[in-house]
Amino acid sequence: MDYEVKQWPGGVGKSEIGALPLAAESAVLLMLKEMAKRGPMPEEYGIKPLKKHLHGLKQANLKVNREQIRVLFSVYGSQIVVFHVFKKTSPQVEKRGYQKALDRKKQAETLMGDGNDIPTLH
Amino acid sequence: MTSLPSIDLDLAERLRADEKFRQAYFIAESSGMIARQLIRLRKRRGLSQTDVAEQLETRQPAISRVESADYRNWSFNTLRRLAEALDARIRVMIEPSEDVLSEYEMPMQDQKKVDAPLSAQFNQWINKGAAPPTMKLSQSILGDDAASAAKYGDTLGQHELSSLSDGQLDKQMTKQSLGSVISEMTGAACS
Repeated sequence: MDYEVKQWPGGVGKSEIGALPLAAESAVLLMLKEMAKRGPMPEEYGIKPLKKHLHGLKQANLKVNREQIRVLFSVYGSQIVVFHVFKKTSPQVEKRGYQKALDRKKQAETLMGDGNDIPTLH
Repeated sequence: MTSLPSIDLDLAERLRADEKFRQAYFIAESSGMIARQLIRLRKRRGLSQTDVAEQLETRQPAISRVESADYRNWSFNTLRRLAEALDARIRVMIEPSEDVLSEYEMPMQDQKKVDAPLSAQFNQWINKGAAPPTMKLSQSILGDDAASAAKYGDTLGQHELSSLSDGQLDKQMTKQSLGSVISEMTGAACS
């Protein structure tokens, strides 16, 4: 099955992934490319579904040059939608990151259809 | 239904133009490939990470780390020990960037098609115990004189290159160069 890697909002790729240090940026882009080819859970990436209150968000953790990068996304059929990519520098930053991703996910789902009608694969 | 914008994963131009990015990307790619192979082979052997850790006299988290795409602290010794524990051999392929960049210029669907035979071959090797493709310089050829070797090399080139085309055979290893390699080897053996 082919997957499309989407983003919401439109600037995730440029302003979030593009703002990462080079090694981290290339690692994230490679992971997304692998996802597009092989699906949202390539075995060599530590991808885990987040807790229920985060409504089907999935998280990839990448540790590159001692920096922890979080990639938050959801899967809708054959679409992988990336909502937020950030560097985890503290638990507080991570918590804010989850909230931001969740807000964006809700916006995207509203745009994509009638909100809750879009099935999220957990 | 509104379509969301795609993330631009067309890396070709970036890989071509930005050497530092290219180096970082290639390192990430090789790390991911090593991790993927280790995971698949361990599973094929029916081993847990703890089992492998015990064989290597280390702990499970260490195996978990080396099975992560973002692990970068590889040493050849670590790889060798892992290969021994998993009863495998190591093959290292170092390819000049100018020879491989065209692979990234294809649309994703086509890249998948190119990868498919390799993946199928890899999976066959991993899952069914089939021998991975190898370039054989048989004793009978090596035993011939240099001229015959060149001739055989040509034949060998046609045969082996066709079977290796999915196996990322070095693109520079043409039939002619294969023949000349054999000539050199046999020449050296004769002298």
